[in-house]
Amino acid sequence: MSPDKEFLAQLQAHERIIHKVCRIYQDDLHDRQDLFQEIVCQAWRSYPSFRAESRFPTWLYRVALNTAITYFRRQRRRRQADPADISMRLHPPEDPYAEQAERMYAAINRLSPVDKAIVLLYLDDCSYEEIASVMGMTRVNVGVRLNRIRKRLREDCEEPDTTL
Amino acid sequence: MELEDLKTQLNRRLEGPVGAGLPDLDGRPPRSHSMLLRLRRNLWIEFGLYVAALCLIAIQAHRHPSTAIRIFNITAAVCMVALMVKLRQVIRRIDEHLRSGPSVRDHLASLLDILQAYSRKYLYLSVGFALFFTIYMILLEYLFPTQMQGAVPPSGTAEVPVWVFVAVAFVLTLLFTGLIYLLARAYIWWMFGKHIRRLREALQHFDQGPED
Repeated sequence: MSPDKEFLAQLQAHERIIHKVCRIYQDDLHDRQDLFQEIVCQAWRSYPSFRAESRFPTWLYRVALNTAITYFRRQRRRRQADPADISMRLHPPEDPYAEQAERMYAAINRLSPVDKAIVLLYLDDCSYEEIASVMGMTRVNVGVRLNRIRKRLREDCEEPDTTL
Repeated sequence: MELEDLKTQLNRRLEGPVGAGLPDLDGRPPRSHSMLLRLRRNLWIEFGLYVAALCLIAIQAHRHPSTAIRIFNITAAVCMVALMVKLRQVIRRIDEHLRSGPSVRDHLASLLDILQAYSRKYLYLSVGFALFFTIYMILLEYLFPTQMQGAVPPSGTAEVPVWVFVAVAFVLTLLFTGLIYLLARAYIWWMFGKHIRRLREALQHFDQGPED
C-alpha cells in the first residue's frame, strides 16, 4: 500500500478525533470546516515523521491539537451555527442527562485552549501518561490540572447559566 | 454533576461530523491557510529579492570609479550575505517544525521562537537597509555634488563647511533610520503581534506549575 493510501486509511479510521478537536475549538460552522482541512493538511505534511513510536491516535491528537491551538483566523462577521448543535437544542434526545451535558459542554467551551485539550484527551479515555506525552507535561502536572479543571467545571455547572 | 458522569454524552456530542470530508490526496499537499506556511513563502520571496539586490550591489561595486563607494558596496554585500544566511536558518527551522510532530508545549515554544527570530531579523534588516541607503546617498552627494541645471557654478566662496555637512547627514540618517524602524515595528506587530501574544499566554498557562 502506498504511503498516501496508508495515511488515508489510518485517517479514515480515526476521523472522529479531528471532528472532536474542531468542535471544541471552533464555534462557527465554516471555521470548523476550515480547521478540519487545516488539520488534515498538517497531518499529511508531518506524516513522514510518524515512526510508530506512539499510537496513531496519539500522534493524530498531537497534530490536531497543535494546529487547533495555533489556528488564528480573522473573526467572521456573521457566525453560522452548526445545524447539528441547533437540532440538539431544539429536539433534545431522550436522555435525562442531556441538559446537564449541554451545560457541561458550554462550561468546557469557556476553558482555556490548553485546558480544553486536557479535557478532550481525558474524555477519550487517554491515560495520564498519554495526556502527558501529547501535552508535554509531567504526569503529576496532568493530575493536578485535571483536578483543578473538574473543580472549575463543577462550579460553572452549578451556577445558573445567564449566557443562553 | 461530574465530568466523569457525562463522558458518554459529551463524547457523542463532540464526535458528530463537522460537515467536511477527507480530501483525495493525489500526491499534492491540500490547500493550507497556515500562518507558518505563509511566513515560509514570504521568506523565500524576501530571499529572492536579496539575491537580486546583491547582484546590483556587486555590479555597482565592480563598475564605480570611486574607491570609497566600491569599499562601501563590498561591505554592504558582506552584511547582506550574513543576513541571508540568517534568513535561511529561519526557513530551515520552519521546515523542521513542519515535518515534526512535537508535543503541544514544544510546538508552542518552537512557534514562538520562530516568530520572534523572524521579527528580530526583520527589524535588523530594515534598520540596516535604511542606514545603508542614507549613508550611501549622502556619500554620493558628498563625492559627486549635484548642480541645478543652468545654475552658475559656485565661485568657491559660498561652500558649505564639512562639519555642517556631517551634522546634517547625521541628523538625516538618524531621522530616516528611526522612521524605518518604527514602520518595521508596526508592520511586525500588525502581522504577528496577535499571534505572539496568544502564544505567550498559552505558554504562561503551561508554566503555571502544580504548586501554584
